[in-house]
Amino acid sequence: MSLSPRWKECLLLVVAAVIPFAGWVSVDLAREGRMVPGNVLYPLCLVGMFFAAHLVLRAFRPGTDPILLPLIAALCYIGIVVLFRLDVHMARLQLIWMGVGIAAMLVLVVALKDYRILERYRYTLALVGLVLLLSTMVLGKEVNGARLWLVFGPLRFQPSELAKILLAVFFAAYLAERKELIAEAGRSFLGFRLPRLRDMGPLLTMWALSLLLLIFQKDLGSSLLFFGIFVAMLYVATSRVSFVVVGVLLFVVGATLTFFAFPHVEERVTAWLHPLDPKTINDESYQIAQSLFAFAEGGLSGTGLARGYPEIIPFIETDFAYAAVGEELGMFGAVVLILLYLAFVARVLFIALRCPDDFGKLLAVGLATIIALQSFIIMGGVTRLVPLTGITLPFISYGGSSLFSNFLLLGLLLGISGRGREVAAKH
Amino acid sequence: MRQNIRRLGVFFIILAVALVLNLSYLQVFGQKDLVENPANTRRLMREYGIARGRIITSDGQVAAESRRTDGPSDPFKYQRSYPLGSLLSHVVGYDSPQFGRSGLEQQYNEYLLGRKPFKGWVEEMTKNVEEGFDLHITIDGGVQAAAARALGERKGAVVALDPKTGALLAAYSWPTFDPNGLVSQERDAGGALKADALMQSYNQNPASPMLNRVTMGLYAPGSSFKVLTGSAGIESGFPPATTYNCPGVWPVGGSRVTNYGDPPRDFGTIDMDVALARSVNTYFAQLASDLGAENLVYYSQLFGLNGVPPLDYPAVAASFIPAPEKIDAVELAWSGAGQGRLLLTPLQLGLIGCGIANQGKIMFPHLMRDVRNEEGILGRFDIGEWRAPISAETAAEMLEMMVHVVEDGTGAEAAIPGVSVAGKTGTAEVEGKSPHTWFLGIAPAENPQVVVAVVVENSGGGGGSVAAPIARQVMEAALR
Repeated sequence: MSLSPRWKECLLLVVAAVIPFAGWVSVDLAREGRMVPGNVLYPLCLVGMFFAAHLVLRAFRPGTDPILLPLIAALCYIGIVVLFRLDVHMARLQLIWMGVGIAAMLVLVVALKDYRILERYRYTLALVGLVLLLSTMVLGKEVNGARLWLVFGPLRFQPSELAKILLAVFFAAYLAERKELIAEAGRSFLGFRLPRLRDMGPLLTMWALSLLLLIFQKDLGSSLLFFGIFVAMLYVATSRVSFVVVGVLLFVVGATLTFFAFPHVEERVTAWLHPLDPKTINDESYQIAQSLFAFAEGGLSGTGLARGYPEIIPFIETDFAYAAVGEELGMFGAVVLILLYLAFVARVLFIALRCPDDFGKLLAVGLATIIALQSFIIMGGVTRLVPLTGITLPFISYGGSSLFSNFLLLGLLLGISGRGREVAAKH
Repeated sequence: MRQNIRRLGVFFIILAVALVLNLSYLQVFGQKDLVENPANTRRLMREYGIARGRIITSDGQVAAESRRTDGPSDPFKYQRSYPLGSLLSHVVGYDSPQFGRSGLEQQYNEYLLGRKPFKGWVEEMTKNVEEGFDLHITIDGGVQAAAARALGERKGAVVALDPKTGALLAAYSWPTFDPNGLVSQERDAGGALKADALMQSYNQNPASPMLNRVTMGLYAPGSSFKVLTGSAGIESGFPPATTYNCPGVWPVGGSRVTNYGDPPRDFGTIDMDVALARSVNTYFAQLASDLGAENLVYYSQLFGLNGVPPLDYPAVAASFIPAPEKIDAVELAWSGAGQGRLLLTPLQLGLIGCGIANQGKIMFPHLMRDVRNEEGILGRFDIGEWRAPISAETAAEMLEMMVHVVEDGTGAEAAIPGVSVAGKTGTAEVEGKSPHTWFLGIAPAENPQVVVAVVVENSGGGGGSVAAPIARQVMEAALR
């Protein structure tokens, strides 16, 4: 049986659409003891938006990958269901942001017929990214101990969410052009081949600048993410394990420095090592301890939606959304989420493998790494696998800028997949 | 580059596996430790977010209910309240976020929280407000109050049972504790929980106010045990007409058994009826010696000694009689009269009385009548026979002799005008202190409705003068 890509997408979207309706029934029954008919608008709007996106793709870019959109739909559905359970008002806002994000994605997919145009604007995009990161230093507002936000009246925007994509585009374009030079030219030093400064210079500069900015803004989650993207793309482009080794060493040095430089980093690490210490359990390690309790409470099958107590964890809607999933949907729900991310990342890497040009390949790898690492950092953080750093869970956490940026990321990937298929079709 | 992309994919898979393994620790293998961590308030929030069911006495008095806390600063949505206060504190127990639960609050926790009995998936799924079920208990508020009034501020215990069903009508132990104080969330000026200090004072009090003496108090039974020796005798071929010569002092195994009185009173040759009415030690010493240790222990265990009575209550002690091979001739003789190493709880003596009152059959003792919600009864206690240690004939003969104890013997103070009361006094010698006094009462003898066992610690006097009037007041209340 061979379905056309768009029919596959349609079928998968129909399957995923079960999630918001089941979630609506489950939350309303648990919370009200009956179905609130007005609330059916939430699943209807949600499913409607994704089917609308499907129709637009069908009309304008039928050759794009059919798997990515349903996977993201499933993640968004789970995210909205959890948010609907935590705070109906936030769910409504998130729904609006989702609409904006999907629209932006479609505009990008339809307007950007050939993503390789971006290669030309690499330095402009990199500059925009840096300016975005810099902007919070000047105009930013400090929220929860970190200066990550730009505030325009009622709107708040987190520039690092968009900057990560712009920097991935820059890295991809730069590496696609110079990967051989970086890998082969240069002198040997202590068994390592050092690339020439003029090959590596711009890359290192961009990277170091963005990292420094993030560190000064105390946005450690994002700096870890940027670092990971850089190392992963450099490795894929140059095949040089030594770069990975040097990168990891640099990271260890940097991490140690921040540990001593910033008291709140030390606090985080202590909370990570001893989350249940009775001395700190109600202060520094309160969040992480409560998050662990939430996962334990959920057990294998979860308490059921609206039957747990996730709201006692501060920032449950954003950084700790995964703890709400773990408590109310149990290990089953938590693992499903991991598998959805893994499936998405695997699919993107598959697209990268099929992509005919190096820029597309590297960009896909970079964007896959963003989703993989970002979800790992926060899922591992709230489950105490790694120290906790505040960062959003892609497509799940509440937050407009995160959602908007991640849909742009999806748009780019759809664009890359489209070209890959079109080229493959020609042969 | 293709190879590198695949390697990167493998790396991401490893990350995902690490996450899943970590989750399996948090949510399955290490779950219990986290759930039970004292800083984890989820269990408490869940349980104190439920309108826990009430506990209601058989005469309709509310013994425990949940009150909605009003302030937003209250950590919990509901708090327990005990309108009857210390009158029923041992039976009902307490339900505290800090100290956990005791008594019926502990025993029937799952019912009071509405988790049992299971009402079906549809109901469970759609239940929105969590509400517990009401527990209706067998305790009668009036009988309980009579027991409290009669015992007063004397260390001891009173238990009243319905011999036909095994239902506990009253169970009072003094000193008591204040359950409302223990569950209070009030804090003093320094921010310390007032209940903490209260709990500490109870735990340090040498009079052990938290101890339910009805089920946990172990005392030498004294002469009240003679009803068991006598019953065992009748069952083993020593009918009531069996006579012994009963001098004031009966020498045995190099030692001796003495009657009360100074000098010890000589009763001459008497049968069991007279011996029971006058509580003659030398009669029951000789009977026990003729029965043998094997027989005495056998019948004691048939009545429930050396086992925990199956009361639906979390703190019940087993009464004790030594193994037959560990009882020598002297101890055997004394055991027949209720001294020696014997230890009984008031509940156990009451159950012995139930066997005698209910034609040789002891019903399962219980406190729960049923569990209800507004729709009706969801489950009830299954009344049934626990054990049948003696025949109906033996029971009838023993009961008749016990009537004489009250009519014409040591138990005269238990007499109720117009009611034939059966009973047995007991005075248990305690090393270096004044004796514990006992009374076991059954009324009315021709159709027993109530069995009462009373113990008063170190009261001085005798079972007849101290414990019998208490039993009388409780029996009167029960028969009213």
